[in-house]
Amino acid sequence: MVERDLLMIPGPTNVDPAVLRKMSKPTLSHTSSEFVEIFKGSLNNLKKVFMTSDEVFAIAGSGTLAMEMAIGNVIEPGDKILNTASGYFGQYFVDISKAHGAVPKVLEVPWGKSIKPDDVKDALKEDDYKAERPVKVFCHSTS
Amino acid sequence: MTIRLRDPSKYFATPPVNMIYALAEALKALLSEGLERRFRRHHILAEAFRDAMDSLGTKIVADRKCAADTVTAIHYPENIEDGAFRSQMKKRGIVVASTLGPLKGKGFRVGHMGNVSQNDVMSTIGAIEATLKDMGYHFTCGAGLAAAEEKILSL
Repeated sequence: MVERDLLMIPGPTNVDPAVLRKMSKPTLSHTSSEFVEIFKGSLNNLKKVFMTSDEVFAIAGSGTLAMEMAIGNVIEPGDKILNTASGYFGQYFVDISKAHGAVPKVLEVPWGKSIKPDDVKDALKEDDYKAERPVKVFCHSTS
Repeated sequence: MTIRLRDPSKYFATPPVNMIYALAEALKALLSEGLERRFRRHHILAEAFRDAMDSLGTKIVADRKCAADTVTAIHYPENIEDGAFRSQMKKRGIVVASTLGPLKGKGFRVGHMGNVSQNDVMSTIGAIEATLKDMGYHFTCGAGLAAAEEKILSL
């Protein structure tokens, strides 16, 4: 019965068998025109999914890697950063920010409660943040 | 520095080719279902699952008004031990996750995102009911399933 176990966890999720089958196809050269088309098409489709015309990146790694990549690309040591934390992964961002030398201020609510846009607005006014540094928006914590 | 990931026809790194096949196929499935339809499906299934947990008298971690449609974390009722609960669930063919950090051992998480179907959600609720009953928690058998079914039919 092992093969019939139903994976009901918040990632990794069940993968559609059609997607799994695609992974077993012979590996193409990453510079071949055939593969480049598949990759380009996927980046375009990702833009549709994230409803953006801006850059999207396909990261070959965990969500945690993408979190660190985001912070690593915008933070200079000593930067003030406003972190929001309403769950396990919000706190994770605080730890990653510190590892990159940021000085995080944490807007925290008990787990299971929401942070309101006005709370963020007020918190941003309280301190002197560099205007060109983006604000991290974390929709929800999966833990 | 230019963003080299922008143009896959120019060498920037060696990407995981077969995983990009999978990405392409998954995106095709998602876009052919349509974003709005998928959001609605996730919302209906999440509401059904939350109604089921409420009907069993278990407490959901997140406030209903800000609860995510992709995952639900549930506090264990008294005297339900995490390891025993999840291993019984596994024996019934359903894998659920533990809660993390300060909630470790105090609850469990169920993901209802991606290509999860109505049947998957109903099976999960059924297994939760059987497991909780077996572990001595009192509730009306079938209450969770009835609530979920009602929600699925009403939406």
